[in-house]
Amino acid sequence: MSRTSTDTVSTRVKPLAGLLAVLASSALVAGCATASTDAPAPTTAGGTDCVANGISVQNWNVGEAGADDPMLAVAALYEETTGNTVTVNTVNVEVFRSQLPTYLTSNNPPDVLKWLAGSTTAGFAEAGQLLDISDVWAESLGDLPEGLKALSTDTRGAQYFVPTNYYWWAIFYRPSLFADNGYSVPETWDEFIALAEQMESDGLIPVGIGTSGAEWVATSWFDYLNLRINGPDFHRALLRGEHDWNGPEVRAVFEKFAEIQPYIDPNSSGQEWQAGLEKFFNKQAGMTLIGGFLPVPDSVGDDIDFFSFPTIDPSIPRVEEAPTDGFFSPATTSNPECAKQFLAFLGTNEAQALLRQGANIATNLTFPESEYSDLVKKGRDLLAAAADITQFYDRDSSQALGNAANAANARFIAQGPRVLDQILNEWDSSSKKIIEEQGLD
Amino acid sequence: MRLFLRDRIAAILMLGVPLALVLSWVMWPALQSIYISTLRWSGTSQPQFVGLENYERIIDDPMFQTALENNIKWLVVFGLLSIVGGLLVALVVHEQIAGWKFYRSAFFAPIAISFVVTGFIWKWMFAPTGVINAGFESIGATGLTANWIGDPDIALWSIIIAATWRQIGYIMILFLAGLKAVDYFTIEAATVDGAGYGRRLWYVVLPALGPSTTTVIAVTVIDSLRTFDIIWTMTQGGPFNSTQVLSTLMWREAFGNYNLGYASAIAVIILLLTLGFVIIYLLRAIPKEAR
Repeated sequence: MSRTSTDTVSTRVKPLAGLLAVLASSALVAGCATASTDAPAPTTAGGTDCVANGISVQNWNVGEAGADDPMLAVAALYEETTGNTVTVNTVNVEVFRSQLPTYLTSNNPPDVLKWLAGSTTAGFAEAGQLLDISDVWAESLGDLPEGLKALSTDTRGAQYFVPTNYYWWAIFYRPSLFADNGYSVPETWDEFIALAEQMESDGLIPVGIGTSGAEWVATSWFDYLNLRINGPDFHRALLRGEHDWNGPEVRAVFEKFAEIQPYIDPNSSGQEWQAGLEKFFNKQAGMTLIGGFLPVPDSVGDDIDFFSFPTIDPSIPRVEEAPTDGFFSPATTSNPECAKQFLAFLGTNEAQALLRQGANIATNLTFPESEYSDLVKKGRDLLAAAADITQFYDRDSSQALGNAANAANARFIAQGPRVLDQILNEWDSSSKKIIEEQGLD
Repeated sequence: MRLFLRDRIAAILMLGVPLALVLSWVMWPALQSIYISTLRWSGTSQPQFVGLENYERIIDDPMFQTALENNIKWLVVFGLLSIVGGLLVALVVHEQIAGWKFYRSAFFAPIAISFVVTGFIWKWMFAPTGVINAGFESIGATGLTANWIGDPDIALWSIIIAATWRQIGYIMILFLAGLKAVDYFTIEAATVDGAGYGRRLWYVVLPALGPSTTTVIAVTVIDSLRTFDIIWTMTQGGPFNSTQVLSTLMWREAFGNYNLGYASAIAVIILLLTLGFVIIYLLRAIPKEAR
């Protein structure tokens, strides 16, 4: 009798104890969060026994987490080839974005995190929150291009990022639609506008886009117009806040933007980006400006192609946008040696073959040609021939500046030149405020 | 009455555990928010004390102004529509007209659906090629079709319609409970005195619904101030920030822009607004119950 009652008590006490532990740790985390976050020096993992000291990878995806996530295959391959242990945690990209500061300041951070190259990550590196992996670059990542090495290097000259795959942006079209209607690929802006006009008179939506809940898609139009009209140096300077968002150069961009705006799907702001793409895949829309990540349905198959955003000022060399994804480690990882081993593995062709999904291009220059489809080869050549590469507005500036740009550009696409002054003035004042208060990262 | 030691321990445990939970999960984070609202802090950077600067920023932030205006529009329109709608439905159902059980279930059914799912359903219906526009087109009323959640002038109202659709059933249930408590003999006495339905409603039923109305208003105000999920699923505050409310703006600043100090300042303002309404509610509700 007494025995059973003791048992009951102990089972009752356990959840309570667990609860108290949770309370204590949540208070601890909250306390830490506002305390000093100076990055402590990394501790050594004690030799390189990465079997017992397995690492954890914080992964994200844009859709639903599934068994087909390439990261799981990469982890399995790594475990198989090295015998080391890797655990993968996958969340939705928006969850990841919101949790990233927490991951980096946690007492027990993930050892390796997947994220985006560019200013978005550089800010963490400049603040000393990312692990210096210059030795990994020197020893194992010699086959990655110099340009991407520069993109992964902080102002002190140390590398902090392993880029694994990238994709290109371009104007996509369906070759069969072009053949049926006798359209040809435009090379100049005037040809592009003429084609849009022709498509409209043929009953097509010339340019498909959906910005509901995804206003960033609209910003690709600004990026390309600015790169074609004012060039990459001005574009970068603008993103650093050295020019006005309502100044003459940006107004020149919107003059051209206004020429194509009437041909962009008038329902842009009411449909999600996937719905915009669906119209393109259904041949209701003739063209769409999108990245190589677009999920091509089986019904479309090979019947898809793209052309570079048309030239506007022939004196400006052709620049393309190529957002790059990759991995880094927090400076506070308890297991830097094993994390570095894994990061080195991510630079290999074997790992990149798995990570590179769809129209993504592997960063390793020795990646076998035969793995690429004709479309991806064409995309890779487009980027290889580009005079310069940018990432994307938010990746080249900051989340907050990106949000300001997204609202402005999505609004211009939906409402056109009649609200231009208001758009530019709001964009200018909100961007300047962000830079004044947050700095650039 | 003397409490035995065992009872005392039980009482301390039973009161202590909820108290500990409230202190650590409600009070502590609230105080923490107030502290963070005085910082400039990205979540990973070295926090920097800036005093009331975040609150000064709020004053000239046009986006905050839009969000506050939207919250007020939401409060007034969503509040009125759902309270008046809920009351009317409750009155009709209470009369036990033919099929009243069906109507009661039909109006209550949306409550079983979360705001997130409600948002997805209505987003799908409000899509440019969705069933609402298709319905108008099929009856030839093409003038009534619209870009429901894509047009910044009407997007907020579209979301309010969706939210009201769900809320009416909830308000109906609260009023039905109140109607059940209305003294039947008073109504009968009024009928004998020759009062018609309208006068009975105005002079007997509605005054007797006073306590329910206080609860309904408090629930509606709090629901309005914390509204987030349905906006997030339908527009994420867009198009072009035209449907931002305080809570979505707070989320965006905290987790989209890593601007935790500013986001906390918005959170504190939401807290103060909510507290204000809750205190008014308590001042009205408690003395009545104590009587």
